[in-house]
Amino acid sequence: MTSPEEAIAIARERAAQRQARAGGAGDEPAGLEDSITAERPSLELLSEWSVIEVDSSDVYSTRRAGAPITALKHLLLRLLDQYHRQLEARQTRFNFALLSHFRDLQERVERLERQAAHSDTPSPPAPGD
Amino acid sequence: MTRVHQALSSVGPYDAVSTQAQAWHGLLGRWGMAGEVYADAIDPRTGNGVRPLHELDPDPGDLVVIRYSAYAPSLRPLLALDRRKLLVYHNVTPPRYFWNHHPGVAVACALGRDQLPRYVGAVDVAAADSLFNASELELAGALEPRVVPILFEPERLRERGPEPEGEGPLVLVVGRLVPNKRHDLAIAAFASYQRDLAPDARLVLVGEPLSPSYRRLVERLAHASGARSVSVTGGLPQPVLNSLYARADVLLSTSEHEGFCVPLLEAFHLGLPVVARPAGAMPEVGADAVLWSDDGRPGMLCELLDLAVRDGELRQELARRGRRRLEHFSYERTAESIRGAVDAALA
Repeated sequence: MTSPEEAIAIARERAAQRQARAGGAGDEPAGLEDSITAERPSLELLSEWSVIEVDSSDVYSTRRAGAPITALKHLLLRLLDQYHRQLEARQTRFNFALLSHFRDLQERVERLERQAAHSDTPSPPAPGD
Repeated sequence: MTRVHQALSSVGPYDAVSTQAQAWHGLLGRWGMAGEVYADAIDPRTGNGVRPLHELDPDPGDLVVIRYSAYAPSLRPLLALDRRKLLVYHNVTPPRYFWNHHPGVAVACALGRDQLPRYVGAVDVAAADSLFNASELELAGALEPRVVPILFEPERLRERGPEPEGEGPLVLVVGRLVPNKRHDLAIAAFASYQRDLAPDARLVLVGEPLSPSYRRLVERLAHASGARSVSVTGGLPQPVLNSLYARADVLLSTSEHEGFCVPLLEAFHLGLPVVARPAGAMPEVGADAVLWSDDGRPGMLCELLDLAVRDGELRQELARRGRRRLEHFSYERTAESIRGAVDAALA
């Protein structure tokens, strides 16, 4: 009888053999790995997020017979499309400007920290000391 | 007469926290202590019996159970309430899973985790449904939080819906369609399994999607994997899910963050083998009754699926161990834990 512990060992071995046969390929990372962020998003990611783009297909009704309500919501979105685009553009402008200021400040802090570290370095002893 | 009310930020038709509130309600009723279940957001698909949160007005001797699983500004006023309070923590998923897929949910998760200490500090007793979740409560400042497991009601699994159609090994994945469940890994493992070992295998992904666009993303991943016979069903009524459990050959979970994982108990009850990654609270729930993929890679998951489907004796042993795990989570035993937490909060 194969016990669960033995089964796990067998599966591990077979998976290793499978990978070896494929020359290390064939067990590529799956599709969502890259979309899961670090706890603190990078500046590059913040730049992407600063551009507001809303997927209107995510506007829907969860009611049992919600299809007509979903259709009505989409119609309203289409009617208000111009307004929403202005709203998105203004919010994106603000986000983008704020991020630029933040980036400038970050670079400035790093520069000042480098200068401070440099000036803290004890001077080499003068000749004859 | 003391009544125990339960407050949730939201209730939905298929989520574990709502189901738990209803299960507790039945148990409290047996003890003559049932108050009402209140929620701020009530999904229209949810059956009756849940009242709007603003109607909650407990009497002086009553207990308010606050179920915490997300940022819940509507629950915050309860913290100032001059009544006995029991916090039940069901875990809040780390926001990193959601930033790219649903910013609103990500913000709610970030705030939910940030504000947990406020809840811990304002209640009389803090409890969690697993040791894993209790450890997060401790980090939030709880002193010796209680562990009150999920109240598992096997009778929920009795009613059957229509018999699922089709032939070939059926791999079942049960859990909300959200990024932390890593359905991409399940699809990749299944694609290998179908391609190399079981050409007639089928995969059914059951669970309420995070959003329509996230559902489409999962469907696109399934298409891109080359796998055939993959169904993304969305949330299903319990009888329909029960029929799938009864017909399935193996339950697969590739989740990497779980506060409990009720489907493990459901699979154990029906004698269904489980292949899973040892993430979050899952090892303490599944223990030695699950085929754990320690590397979480599709290759090993694929091999475990094959063994779980084909090896009859292995299936029997897993079923036996599953039944033993269920004794640990029996209704009576968990009811005792709940009674202990309720009495402690009222003391």
